[in-house]
Amino acid sequence: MSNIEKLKNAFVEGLEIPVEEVENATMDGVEKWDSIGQMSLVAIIEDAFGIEFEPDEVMQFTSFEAGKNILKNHNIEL
Amino acid sequence: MNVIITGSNRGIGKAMVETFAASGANIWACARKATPEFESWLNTTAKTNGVWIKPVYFEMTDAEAINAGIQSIIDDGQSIDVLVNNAGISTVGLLSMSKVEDIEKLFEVNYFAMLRVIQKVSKRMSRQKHGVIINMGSIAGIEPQPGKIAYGSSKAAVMMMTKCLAKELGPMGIRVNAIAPGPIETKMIHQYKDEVLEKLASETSLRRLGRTEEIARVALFLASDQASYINGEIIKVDGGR
Repeated sequence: MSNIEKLKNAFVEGLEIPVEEVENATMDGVEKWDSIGQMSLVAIIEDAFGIEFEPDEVMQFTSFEAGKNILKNHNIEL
Repeated sequence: MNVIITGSNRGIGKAMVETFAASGANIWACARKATPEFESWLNTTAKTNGVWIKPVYFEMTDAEAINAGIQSIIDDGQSIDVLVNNAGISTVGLLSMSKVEDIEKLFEVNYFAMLRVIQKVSKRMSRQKHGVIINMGSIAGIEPQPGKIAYGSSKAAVMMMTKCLAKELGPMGIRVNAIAPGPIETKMIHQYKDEVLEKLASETSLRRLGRTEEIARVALFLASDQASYINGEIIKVDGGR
């Protein structure tokens, strides 16, 4: 499975949204992406990629695109 | 049930290991450093109760060591059902006789180290969508006493942390409670003179110091499904005051 697929799967599992909605997912636009959904999503991504988000990164993580940038900062190729 | 217990090599933590193991729980027993006595005792306790007990060593004043220690537990790949945050240090001293640096160190162990452990473990628990966190508070964090400015303040902070975390983590199926022991018969309490110990005992309705297992049994209850609707509570276990 590619890294981008792993990231999309994390969104599907963590936020319970269909995979086709993942790329446009934002915190404001997804009902389950509240502070609780955020914590769950972060935990799933950390597990999937073996990384640990810094508190600043958790704050910045407000969209799928932002998630991609955070992973890139951890040297994960997407 | 798989349980992390910090400060597991003496006092209340040791009683926690014995009590949880006797109930059939598997344990990651966290302590500062390995000793043959500690490891031998863990092996015997595990064998006697038919459970596994794994020692995990890290220094509570070292953030990187805490991270590595907890990560090694997470890397075990087992469910982490319960976290008992027991590790702590105690000091007695009037502010005029205390160095602020020493108070900072006490807060580092009693409060910030606990936060670091919880921050990491709660992520795992939120993924599992269940978990129980039990923090060791103290009656010293509720009743002001001269000489307890450092210890009492740190435990008051722990208990407020407990209440806040219960609200943050409750929606993810994680319960967070604290125990506030009164004077308990441990090595830590023997920093006091005998007459002070007698006074401490006389201040309780039961007229005696508590036993470590009396705290451990409350922790076991809080960890169990018997306490499934208890969240954000500070349970005083102090013989009545």
